[in-house]
Amino acid sequence: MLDEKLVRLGVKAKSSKEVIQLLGDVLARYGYVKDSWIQAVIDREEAFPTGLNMPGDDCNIAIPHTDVDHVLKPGVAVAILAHPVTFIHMATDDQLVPVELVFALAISDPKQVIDSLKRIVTALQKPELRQQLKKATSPKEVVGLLNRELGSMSSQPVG
Amino acid sequence: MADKTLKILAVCGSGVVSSSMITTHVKEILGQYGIKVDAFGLMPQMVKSYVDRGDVDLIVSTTKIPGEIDVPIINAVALLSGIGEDEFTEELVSAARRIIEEKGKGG
Repeated sequence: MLDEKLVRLGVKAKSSKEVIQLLGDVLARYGYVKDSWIQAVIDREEAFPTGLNMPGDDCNIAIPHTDVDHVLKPGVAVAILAHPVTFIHMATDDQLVPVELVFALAISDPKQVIDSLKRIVTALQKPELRQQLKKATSPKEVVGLLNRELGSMSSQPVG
Repeated sequence: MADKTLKILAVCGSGVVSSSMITTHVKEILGQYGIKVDAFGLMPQMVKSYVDRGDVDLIVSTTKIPGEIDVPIINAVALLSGIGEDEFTEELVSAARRIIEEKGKGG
């Protein structure tokens, strides 16, 4: 589910849409999603935003995703942003969140990956981890940090 | 003897991703209080017709839900962000206990 090829560091984007487009292109290029995923996520983000204010109000995250129909295999694309972009906060119409870490979720069968996903999202509640991700200098480091969180809680093989 | 299993709808935009995450959390939390949960995910636009058919005790949601809904709704965004998680747990547990008590009275 975590793959170095799906990680982008120092992303300079002007809007949430640009970040979604970038991560969607990456996911599509490596066969994780259909091309339709990008527009589906942009539309869905308007109706059901995924910005999340995190503890400490620092390094906030967003978890854009969409229906399983647009997904080919499970993956998480990660963008560490050079400057925050604005997302709308989950469960609101108008509450804005400056976001620095974006995790685009390609979920085909939630049952397969929901445990890993839940662990990643829970781990991201730790400000130290978000700071480490922000300072990471390579995709390998990002995947290593996230895998450490998955591994520390379970020894289950991840498909 | 009343049915002590709580029927919970977990609601999110896609009906699967965030709702699956919050479902696992909710089961864990209520499990610690000895409350059994039967939960599944649904998209917001399907909630009203589902609730109107009965058989739902409580809703936990990461989105707004259209229509007038007759069962308690608890905002579950805290489970994803970690902000206000204790308050969420408190609200969830007290709502669950109240519902189970009412079910008991109703016979």
